[in-house]
Amino acid sequence: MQALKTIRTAMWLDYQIMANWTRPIIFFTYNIAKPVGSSLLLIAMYYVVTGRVVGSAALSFLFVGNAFYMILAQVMMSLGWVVHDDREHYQTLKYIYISPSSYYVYLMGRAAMRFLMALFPAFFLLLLGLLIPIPYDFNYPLLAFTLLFGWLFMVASGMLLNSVNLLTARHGGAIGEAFAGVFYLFSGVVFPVSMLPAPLQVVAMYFPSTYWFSLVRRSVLGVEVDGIMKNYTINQCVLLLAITTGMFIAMSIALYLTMDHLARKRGTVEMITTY
Amino acid sequence: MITFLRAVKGRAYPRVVGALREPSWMFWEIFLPILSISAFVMVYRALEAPKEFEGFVILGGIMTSYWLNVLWGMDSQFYWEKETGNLQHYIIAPASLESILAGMALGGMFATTTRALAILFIGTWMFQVDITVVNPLLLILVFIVCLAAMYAMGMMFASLFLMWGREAWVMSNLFQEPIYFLSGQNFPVKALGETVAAIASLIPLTLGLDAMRQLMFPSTYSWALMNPVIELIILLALTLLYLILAMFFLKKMERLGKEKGTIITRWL
Repeated sequence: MQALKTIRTAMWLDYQIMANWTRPIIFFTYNIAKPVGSSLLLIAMYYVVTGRVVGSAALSFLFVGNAFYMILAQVMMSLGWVVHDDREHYQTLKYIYISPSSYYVYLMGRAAMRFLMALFPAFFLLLLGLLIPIPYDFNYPLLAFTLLFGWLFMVASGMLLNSVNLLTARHGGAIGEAFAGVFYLFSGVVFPVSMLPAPLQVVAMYFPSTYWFSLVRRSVLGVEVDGIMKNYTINQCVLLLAITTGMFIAMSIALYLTMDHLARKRGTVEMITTY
Repeated sequence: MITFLRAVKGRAYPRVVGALREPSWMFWEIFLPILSISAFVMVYRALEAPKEFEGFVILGGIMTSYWLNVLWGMDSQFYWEKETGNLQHYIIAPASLESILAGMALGGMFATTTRALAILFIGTWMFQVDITVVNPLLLILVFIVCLAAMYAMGMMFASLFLMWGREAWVMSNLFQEPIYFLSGQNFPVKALGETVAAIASLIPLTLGLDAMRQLMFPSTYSWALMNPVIELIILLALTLLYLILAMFFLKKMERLGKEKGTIITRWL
């Protein structure tokens, strides 16, 4: 019960930090600008090579992958900043630490709100995809399941980053985005996993995001065109997503406990860097 | 003048030392950006694009690292300094705010250059990109003037972002992907059409990238927006314009801050 209260409060706080500087309509416009910019960049890359911006399997692959990657990128980008923001900007980290709530659970709540906020741009991009046009073939129950598990693995991944941040100096806002790059490269987001060199394909199979993006394509496009991922059935993908997500959660808890101990020992919970 | 230079040195110092003292920076600033660049290269490979396009991605990655430094290390920095309580010290110190910003810019450029060089060497080696520099002197000039224009723009936005308060973060976020698209980070900006490209030319990154692409990958000249010499001249004009605007907005920000008492107000 205490954990749920903490998550609810953290979600409310996160929304206030994100959005109370302006009116909701401006906030939502701002919220979609970044993902739209990112999609247009990829469409432009596609255009300079092929000379067109309409229908092909490759375009559908990269457009849908990128639309859902934006959820991951937004969550990572925000979570990459939370520890530094609490510690150095608002200087409230130490107060959260001494409160009866767990900092880990508090961060889960912050991540949950970022995830919810990131869903809007993804759906907006899907609407935009009708203009290209992307041949959608939705499987709604699968999409709902995929999104739920997406939140779990994103929280776990964000916690890996946050745990490291407990010990590091402020790097600016790009740190989370850089971390998200790991998933961008290894998960078959905008190009098939089969394009990766063989050793990296093995690495990709340990990432929950690889199965998540495969399930996203199956639930939104109705097909999987990735040469490697299409060898897995939906059930196998679901199972592997659950297993790898479980691994990430276990890793994130272990890393958090280690880094939390070190941060207390080295006194970095109050660290302020003014580079 | 001596005070100005001392202030520049004083503000650049923590950034230079910070870049060397904080080993985790190396990981975040060099290794992870390589991953995103690799992903874009793989997209071009999947689309069977000409090899030069992979070079565009690496060049875009290098210049983007400077752009990110301008956004997070310049534009939003005064706001950050206010939040951490340093801004008031800058204002009461016997040095101009311009010198503090110039110091930030030089220190930031140093730290970012280490990342940019790593991206250049690792990227060209990893993806076997052939670079043919047709006019090294012009390339160096374009690069330096492009950086000058970008950091001058950063100086201008530093005071604006400070006036806007918490929206500074929002603006920095907003100036990423949409600007990557408008400036043609990974593709020739001419593809956007001449009108959009001309408007996007107000961002120094656009012209700098276009000129450098022509000078490093001459076989893609047909994608050029305009002659690199003309782009150099426009970049010089932009540098001057943004410096003048930076000085104007700095004075305005300082006056408004003193009148409204917001220079030491935090978390707004």
